[in-house]
Amino acid sequence: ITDCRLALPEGTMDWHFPFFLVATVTLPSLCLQFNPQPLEELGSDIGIQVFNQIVKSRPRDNVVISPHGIASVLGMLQLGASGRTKLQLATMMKYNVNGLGKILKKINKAIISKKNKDIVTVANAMFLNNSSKIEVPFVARNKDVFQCKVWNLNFEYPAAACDSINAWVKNETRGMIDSLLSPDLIDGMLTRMVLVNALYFKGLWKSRFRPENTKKRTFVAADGKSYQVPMLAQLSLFQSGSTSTPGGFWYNFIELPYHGDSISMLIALPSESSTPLSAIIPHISTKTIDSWKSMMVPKRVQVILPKFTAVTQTDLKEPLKALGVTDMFDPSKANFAKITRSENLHVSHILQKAKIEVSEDGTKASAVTAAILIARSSPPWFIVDRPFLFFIRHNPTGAFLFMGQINKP
Amino acid sequence: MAQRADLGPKRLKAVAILLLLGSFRSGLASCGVASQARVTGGSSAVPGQWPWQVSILFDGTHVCGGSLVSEKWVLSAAHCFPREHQKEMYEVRLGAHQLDSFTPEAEVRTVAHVLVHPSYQQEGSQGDIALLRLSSPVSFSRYIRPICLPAANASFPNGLQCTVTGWGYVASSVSLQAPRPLQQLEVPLISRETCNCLYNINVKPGEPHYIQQDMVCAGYVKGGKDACQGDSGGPLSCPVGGLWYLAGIVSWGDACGAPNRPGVYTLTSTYASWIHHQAEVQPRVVGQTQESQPDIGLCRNHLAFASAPARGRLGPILLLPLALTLGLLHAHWEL
Repeated sequence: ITDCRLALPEGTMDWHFPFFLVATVTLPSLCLQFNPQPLEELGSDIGIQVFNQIVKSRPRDNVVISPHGIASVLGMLQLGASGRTKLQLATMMKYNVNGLGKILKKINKAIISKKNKDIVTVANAMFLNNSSKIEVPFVARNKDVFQCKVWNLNFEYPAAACDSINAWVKNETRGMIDSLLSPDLIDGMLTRMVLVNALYFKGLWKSRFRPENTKKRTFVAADGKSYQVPMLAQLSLFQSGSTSTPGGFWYNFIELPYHGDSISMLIALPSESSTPLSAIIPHISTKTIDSWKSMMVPKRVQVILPKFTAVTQTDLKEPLKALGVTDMFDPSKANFAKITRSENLHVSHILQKAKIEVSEDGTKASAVTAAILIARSSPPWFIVDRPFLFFIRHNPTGAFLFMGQINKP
Repeated sequence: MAQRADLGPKRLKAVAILLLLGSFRSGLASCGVASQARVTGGSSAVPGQWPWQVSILFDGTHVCGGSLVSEKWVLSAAHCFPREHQKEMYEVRLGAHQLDSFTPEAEVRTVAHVLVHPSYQQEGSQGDIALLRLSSPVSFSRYIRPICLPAANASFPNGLQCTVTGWGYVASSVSLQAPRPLQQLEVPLISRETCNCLYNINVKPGEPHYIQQDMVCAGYVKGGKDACQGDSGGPLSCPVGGLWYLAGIVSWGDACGAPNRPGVYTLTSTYASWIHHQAEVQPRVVGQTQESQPDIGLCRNHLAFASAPARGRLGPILLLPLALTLGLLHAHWEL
């Protein structure tokens, strides 16, 4: 029984997802990469493995990364690498970028196609020291495959170089990320190249959340404390289901589509509040997530989801080393002969910064079918009131644009 | 009776006589009698106030309401029983007041049969009514009693103040808080024609809603008070001649409590013969009260008001913002 007596204005539901990836390299070769279905899944799986490594050391934090962005940066590095450096990259990625350029290009174009415009912006750039003599084929291929722009920059003045890069990022992400790099990450003597991969995402829900339904509700964070956070609420028709890990931990999942139907958010939530995310994460792969599809059924569900913003800056160096990619960080072993022959380059940092905002905005008031939402029986609830995992998936290619764990919105 | 005093022997006698009278009365009218038929708006009920109200659980969770119509039968809404749900997983809780509290008066039964009306197709269609046969009969008590079923020719006048009860959401997407006491709300009946007119105001293309022949509406044109998710299947109880009749069954509505979108109920009298045939429950002829007055003005007034500024008259233009401001204040007051 309702007794609220307030005419509720129509709401909108908004998801903003700005995301970046920066690689500061002492002399690297990079740009990005990605591929069609199976190839893209290999790519995203690398990102998921990296995520696994990152959350091992940060189990209680909010972590947001871009698996697609990581695969892209590694692909760019692979293009410029030779010898054992290249071998390590190709072994870890399970594919050789050479020969796959056309497919990768196709994937990258699909992700930024007009169909997704206003939703996904992918920007790649290489900033090269004025003195570096860069191999022309490397520049050309990066431009072709990864739409990677190349600029010369004087790293001798770290502050000025840093400002230039940040200004570029800010512009490319429409102001969503305005201070990516700090001058101390640039070494005026050693830095020869900075690689930036920025992804900005502003998702409009296919079925928007009404702002008047957003209310403060209790979220029990990973630290065991309860927090009152604004949560979005919507009764609508969603695909959802549940399954268990091989270890017997049950979790529920739901798909929340964005406008245009090519991008969805998937949420995985342990069924028992006593199950930590760390029990579920090792089981997550593109294959696992594909298997959810066959287990999901469309149901009228009452969804309750925190409205939140999360920002994460991650140095990918340690996670990548843990996964066996070591030589490219070692000044005595790194081999980026395809980028330049004039000096020895190695990677000093690969920084990724991701920012995600979840809100009510969408394109339509409620939804799907008029009939299914009017009945007054009590629907099952999907309440995201404890730590959860989320994935932003580009369905036509299978690319995971973002993934993250939220321990406290 | 309201005075507090020790119960001496005389008083005990008096109480005994009253109790006898009470049972005598229930003997005459075996339905529609509540021990405390007090009606207010949008508030928690008193235990035993709506003894025919039941909670229907699926897999242990409250999904819908229902109304007890005999020792063995409960009436609810067809959409509470989607095909994919196994009937073995349903339970009916009778005599309950707070869903989260145990009370010795409450009884639980499993469901022996679910009879969904054959004309029901989907949410919003005709025939949103279902009969449940309990696994074993219940004994009536102060907390468990049937409501009267109106006969096929019953007609409840427009504007009649009826009461809808249930454990549903208290606002869109907001569930009732623990301990979840039964909620009651007084709502006036609105004719089907007027209701269709209201549902055509600001209608969204592609989302037409139509009030079918077997439906009736109840609620407020300005919105705010209404049934909501979780109330489905529950009773719209109307008082006539000292008895309560199940005039409607909570069925659907566009959102909850939105302006010009009153709650839509299945008109029980349409199915009097079906119920009689299936459950052998005797519908009761509803005594005539007052003549039903046309209520189309509820909708037409809106249309006339909306078109006033278009005539270019200064008065209404100036008055309109004032009226809106007052309306908002009013809304806050009632929160």
